[in-house]
Parts: sequence; C-alpha cells; structure tokens
Amino acid sequence: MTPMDRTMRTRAVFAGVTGVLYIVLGCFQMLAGLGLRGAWSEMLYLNGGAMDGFVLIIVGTVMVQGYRELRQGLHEGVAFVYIGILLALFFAIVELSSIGASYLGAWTIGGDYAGYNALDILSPALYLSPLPLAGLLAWRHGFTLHPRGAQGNGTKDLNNVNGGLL
Amino acid sequence: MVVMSVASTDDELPLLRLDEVQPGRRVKVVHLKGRGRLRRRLLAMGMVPGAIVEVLRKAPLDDPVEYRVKGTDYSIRRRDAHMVEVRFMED
Amino acid sequence: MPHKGGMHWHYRARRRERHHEEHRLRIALAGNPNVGKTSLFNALTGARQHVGNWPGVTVDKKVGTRRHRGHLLEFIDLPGTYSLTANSIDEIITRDYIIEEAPDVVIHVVDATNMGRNLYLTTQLMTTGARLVMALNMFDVSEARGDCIDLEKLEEFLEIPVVPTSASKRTGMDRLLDEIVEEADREYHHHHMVGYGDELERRISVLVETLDQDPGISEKYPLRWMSVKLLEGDENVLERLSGSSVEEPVRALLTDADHEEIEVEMAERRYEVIDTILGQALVRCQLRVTPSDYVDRVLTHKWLGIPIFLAMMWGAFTLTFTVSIPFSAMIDAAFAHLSGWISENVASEWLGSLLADGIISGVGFVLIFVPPIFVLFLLLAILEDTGYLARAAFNMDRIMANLGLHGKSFIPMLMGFGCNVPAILSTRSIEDRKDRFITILVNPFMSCGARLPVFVLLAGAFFGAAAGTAIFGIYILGILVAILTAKLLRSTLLRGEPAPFIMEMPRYHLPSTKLVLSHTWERTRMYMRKAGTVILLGAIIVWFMASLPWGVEYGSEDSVAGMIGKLLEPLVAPLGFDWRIVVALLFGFIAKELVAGTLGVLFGGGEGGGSLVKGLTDPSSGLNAASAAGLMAFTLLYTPCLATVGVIWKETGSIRWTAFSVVYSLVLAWLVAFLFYRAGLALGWG
Repeated sequence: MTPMDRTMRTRAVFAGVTGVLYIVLGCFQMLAGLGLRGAWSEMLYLNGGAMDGFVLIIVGTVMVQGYRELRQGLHEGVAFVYIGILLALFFAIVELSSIGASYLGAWTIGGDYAGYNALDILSPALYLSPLPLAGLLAWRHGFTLHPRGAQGNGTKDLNNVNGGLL
Repeated sequence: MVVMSVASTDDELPLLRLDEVQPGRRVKVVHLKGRGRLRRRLLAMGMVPGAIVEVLRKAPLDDPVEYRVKGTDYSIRRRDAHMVEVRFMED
Repeated sequence: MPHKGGMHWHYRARRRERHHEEHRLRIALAGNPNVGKTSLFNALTGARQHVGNWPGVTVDKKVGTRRHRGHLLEFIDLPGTYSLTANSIDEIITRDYIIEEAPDVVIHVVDATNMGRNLYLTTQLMTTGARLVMALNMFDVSEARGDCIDLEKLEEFLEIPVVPTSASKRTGMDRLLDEIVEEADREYHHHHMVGYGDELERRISVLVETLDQDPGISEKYPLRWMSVKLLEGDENVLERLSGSSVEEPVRALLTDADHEEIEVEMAERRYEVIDTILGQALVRCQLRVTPSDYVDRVLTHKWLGIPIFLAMMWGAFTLTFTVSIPFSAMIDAAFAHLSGWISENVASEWLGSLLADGIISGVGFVLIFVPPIFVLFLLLAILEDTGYLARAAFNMDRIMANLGLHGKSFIPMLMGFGCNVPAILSTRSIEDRKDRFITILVNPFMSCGARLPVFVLLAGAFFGAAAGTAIFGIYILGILVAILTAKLLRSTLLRGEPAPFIMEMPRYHLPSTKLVLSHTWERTRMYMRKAGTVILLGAIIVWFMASLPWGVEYGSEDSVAGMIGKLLEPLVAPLGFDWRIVVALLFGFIAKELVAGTLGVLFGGGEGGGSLVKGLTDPSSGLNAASAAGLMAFTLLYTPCLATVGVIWKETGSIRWTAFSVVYSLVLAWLVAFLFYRAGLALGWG
C-alpha cells in the first residue's frame, strides 16, 4: 500500500463521497422513473425518467472507480475523477438546457409551462452539480493530465496542445 | 559484445502471437504470417520484423486490441493480430 | 552515406513536358489521414471545409486556387492514405492522380508528431518521381511537447524541401508557397531513394530495362515505381501492361518472384531507412504514457466504456430534441403566420394558394427541422473532433463484427441518423468492396432526420403518452432491419469474411470551436439547400398535382394526385392505407420530409397542427393505431429518397445494386407494415 500524498487523498475522498451520492440518487431516480413514486421521491425531487437515473449511476460509478484506484495508490485514478466530473457537468448541462428550452418555449409561443416553479424541475443531476463544479474549479489545472516524466516542465505548453483533456 | 548477447537471449525467448500478449507488455515483431491485404496493411503501418509494438489496452468486449507502433495507436482485431509473430522484449 | 539503409542519389530529368500555360501550377496535397491535410488545404486556399478525426474523412477531390508570386496555383486535396498500394479506393485515387495526372508539385503533408509512420508514405511518394515539398505540419505541437527535429538533416537525407507548418495557426504558409513555386521551376529534381539490397535491385533494374522497351509504358509511368509495384505483386499495376509488347517478358520475369516475401523485405528496408533518418534528425521526447492514454483508461474501460458511450449518446439525443423544440416551434409559428398573411393578401386565388399551401408550408415544414439537425450535427462534430468517435468504434467493434459488419461501418450508421447521403459518402474509407456495399445497402434503414416528422406526427396522433416509446421503437426497428439485412447479404449475395479492421486511434484533441461550427454549418447548409431546391420543387409539384385539373377541391380524389393514389390504392389496401397515404408516400420518394407535409395537406387541409391531428384521428381518415404503426414502419423502411438512391448508384457504380436497394426496401416495407397492421388489429388497436 503506497501512502497517498495529500492532494491525491483529497481527490479520493471527493470522488468517493460524490460517487456514492450519485449512485444512490441514481438508483432512486431509476426506481422513480420506472413508476415507484411516493412521498420520498417528491422529497428528493426525482423528476426525471429511468434513463436519467441510469446516467447518474454511470457518473457515480466512474467516480467510485477513481476512488478505488487512488486508494490503491494508482495515480492514474485521477483520470476517472476528472472524467467523472466532466460527465456529471455534461448531464447537468443537458438537464439545464431542457429546462431553458421549456422556458424559452413558454415565453415565446406560450406553452403549458405556466405552472412551473423552480422546485418542480429540480433533479439530482442539477442539485448535485455544485459538487463536480467545485471539483472542476478546484483542480482546473489538473485537467491537463500531466504525462509521466513530463511533470514540472512544459506544463503550460501542454495545456495548449492536444495533450489536454477536453 | 552487447549486440551478440542481446541476439542470443532474444532467441531463447519463446515466439508467440501478438494477440496473446497482455496489455502493458512490449514485444518485437519477428515475422508476419498470412498473405494479402492484411499483411500489406500491417507492413504499411510499420509492423515490420524488428519493429517494437506496445500493447496498450483491450476493448471492453476484449476485441479489438489497441497497439502502439512507431508512435501511432491502432485498433486491431484479435484474429488479425494473430497473424503477427512476436517475441517479448527484455525490459 | 554511411548508414546501412542503402540509399543512393537519383537524378532524373523532368519526365513530362512542362505545362506551358503561363505559370499555372497544379499542386496536389498527399499525406496520411489525420495529419491536418484538409486544414492545410483550407489555410492555403481559404476554402471552408470539414476537418475531423475519423480517418478518411477527406474522400472527395477538393480543388482550390491561390495566386503566389505571379503563379496561379491550383490545389487538389487528395484522400489521406498510409501507402500507395492498391488497398483501398483512397489509395488508388491518390496514386492514380499522382502517376497519371502528373501534378507539377506534390505537397507531402507530414505529422511532425508522428514522423515514423508518416515517412513510410514519403518513401513511396519518392519512388513515383513526383516533385515533392514536405509540409511538416503540427510542428508547433511537436516542439511544444519537447521533440527536436533537425530540419536541415531531414532535408539533406530526403533531398526534399521541408517546411515546418501549423495549419491550425496558419504559420509557415508563405514559405511553403515559395518552396512550391521554386520546386516547380527547378530544372532537375533529385531525391534520395530507398535501396532494396543487391538481390532486389538487380531484379528492379532488369524490369526497368524491359519496361523501357515499350515507349507507351515508359513515357507514361515512372519505371522504377512500376517495377517495385510489379515485384510486390500489385495486380492493379500489372493490368496496366495488358496489350503492351513487354507484358509477356515482364510476366516471365515475375514467375519466380515470391511477392509476399519481397513485400516484407521492401517494407523492412523502407523502415530501416526511416529509422536511420529519424535516428539522426529527430530527438524525441519519449512519452510512454500520453494524456490520451489516461483518458482512454476511462472511456474504453472494461466495464464502464460501453455504459459511458450509451450515456453520452442518450445525452446527445436528449439535448438534440429538447433544445430544438422551442426554436422549431418559433419557425413553425412564423411560417404559419406568413402563410396566413399571404392567403389573405394575395388577390389571385390560385397564386395565393400556390404560395401559401404549396411553397410556404412546404419549405416551412423543412425548416422546422433545421434546429434539431443543427444540434445533432453540432454534437456529432464535437465528438468527432475530439477523437471520441474512434473510441466509440473501438468499444463497439466486437458487436459490429458479430453482425458481419465492419468496425468502420459504425460511423456511417451513426451518421445515418442525421442524413443517409453523407453517411453513404463516408463509407469510402472502407477498403473492402463487400464490406462497403453491405454498409451502403443497410444505411437507409437507419432512420434519418427527415423521417422523424412523420413519426412525431403519427405517434403523437395515435399513441398519446406512449409516443416517445413508439418513436424509439421505430428507431430500434430500423437498426434491427439493418442488422438482419447485413447478416442476410453477408451469407448470400456478398458472402465472405469481413476484411481486416485496422483503425487509427487519434490522440484526443480539444475541439476547435471554429472547425466544429463551420463543419456543423456546412452540413446544416446542405440540408437547407435541399429545402431550397428539391423540396421547393417537390412542394410545387405536390401543389399542382393536388390542384389540377383546375377547379377541383385541393387534394381531393378528383385531383391528379388523387387519381394516381386511387389507381395504386388496391396495392396498399391490405395495409389499411387509402389513396391519400399512397400520394404521401409517392411524394416522399422525392424527399422523405414530404410524407409528413403531404399528409398535412391531404388530411388537415394545411390549416396547422391541431386540426391535422384531428384530421388524422377522425374516423373518415380510415387510419387507426394499427395502420399508423404500419405507416410508420413503411415510412421507415421503404425506398430511400431520390438523393440517397442517387448516392447509392454513384457509390456502388452498379445499377443492379441500386435497383436491388429500391426493390428490396419496398417489398420489405410492405411486409413489415402488413405485419404491424395485422398485429395491431389483433391487439385491438383498430
């Protein structure tokens, strides 16, 4: 067991906690999407469908995999954490865009969206998104994924070339 | 002589096919089996005898496999990779 | 030269006479796929074109011009190739152009980050005797990652002018142009060439001497190149000798040649030379693990790779359909408004009707689908430009192989969801003829964007809350039919094993906003141009057929359209369709968008969505959920639209395969629709 250095420990804890949250809420969302709704699903704002749940589970699993690898001392595990963050944000954007589109539709051509309030459209992908967003902001420089042997020098250039991750 | 000793240990290592090599290993191409287009394609991408091939990773369903040859990465199906005879590198 | 590769100087006077039209130079761009060849072409000519990561995206011959120092330079973008064998259409196009059209200069575009592989093509281009200028592209990237390329050494070894460029940053263009002009004006040109060792060189020189006896051959082809190809057993080159006086002696010289062995030996020699050159001219920063490797550990992960792919596809399709809805609705409203205004304000009744019911609603109907198509193309372009699509093919290849399809078939299939025309064009990178034909023939079953409106309309009218599921089911049906058809063709008419599938995996890129947007815009514009031409024409034809003979009620049984529909009605009666459906499907052959448009005219009287749904569900329509399901299946499967049929014809080069596609899909559509209708009735959907 290689001891993790401190920066990796933070990422590992972040990935573990975020990942578990995404998986648990993903499972709930999937059940709700399949029709098992009740007071509990209202409370957790599970407004999406089964596929929304599936996607949350995938994101969570990617994060947890990152946690597991970092725990084993595998430095490469950060890739799972970072890509997990990007996937989480991508699906949050998907949800946000759908909501934006609904509002735009209601505003321009007057659909039946009058009854909307912010809580009706909240979903796990959205209210969990501050976590990955914080991760992205905190480690934005890490998204270059320094190749082995190239740490320290030339990092700035690598940011600009195709070495960068998304 | 360095060259001599490398050559002799090389010969002692067993021959195997590229599709049998696990990800993470590096091998040296010994011989290309088979004929025709596949062989031509493999040659063009640098799978010539003596070339070093790095096995990068398997696809999720185990096939194809990604290899690095001369600095470029390729996805090759197992049955095609089977046509390449290789030998482990000492490293 | 002190190295073991064995190279020798090669001088040759210009083989072909110069083009004496004043200073007009033809310049071809050749290079491996994914080296930025098309970007360089754009930077040189200023043309807007598409650049992606899928190997072989540049399939068409693109031409652009530019003036430089009193010369008119005409650039031709050749397909990306790894070598100049007769392996694929791309390679044949490239080598035929270089050998037979004899451009004044060939710009050999080389990826500076990847010289080992790229120089293989250099060795092949050199043998053709073409005048070469090397554009060492992505030079900035290679410098940034710490490579050091000794340009002078490289020029000295290759005896080719080498210009470092960066197509994306547009640097090095002026020097490249200078070198091109200079190379074209040079009296002699000389290249180093690969020496193949005594034994092979002896064979080559005997062949060269023999070939030289026929002036018809020696004037047309570079003899050393030809001899090398003959020794490699290149059938395509051997065919060119047919009818020549030297054919027999050449065949005699080749009888004892073991082509396979010779090929390996030559390739080995070429790489020996390349390794020698690179050993001296390149100090590489050795990255054994690249950032791409990190990303791929996740995106091609054993358990997570495919779920991530599915999740991304779901996200892309969700984005496509939700984001575009309000924009489509706005376009719809605007055109309804315009159409209403015209019918009120145009004095002449027939002209008003032609404009409002025919042209405006027809074209408006197409433009409604511009937003979803734009978003879908945008997302595909981003995935393509980052390099993710190659990973998607990598992840899914095993499944494709089990279906008897080619790994490279995956992208055309995916593109088919947008439009089958570019999808079929993109099959050109598939090397094997049978693989390619199967991919082409099953592509129309991938439900393109134009068919979606029909599904939305019918599912919305007849399946209510289950509309989404119904549409999803139709897409799945299309995929299933494609799979079964592929299997069927593979085991009957196009029997055989799929060709080897070797795909380059490009490194991940940060997508370039400009490229992605211009690529997306290009494809969307293609769709809109279709709206402005084919569909406009279609709308006018539909209007006339629905209005003639003069005085009949618009689109009624007595109109020309109605009469044709009536004539063919018995054929589709078993499917629960009446003459109006026949008319809609008939027009749908011009463009599938017209199916929904015509249904709108015939069932709704062109009065807008609400009444159309009423018109469809009204008992007088003769439609019910069962026949609607049948109609959706029929629309999905029947004869591809005119443009697609045209492309199938062009790409297969065979009228018989085109006819096969037309008839097969028509018969299949009828059978499946019948099955759906009967099953629906049995389930009580009637």
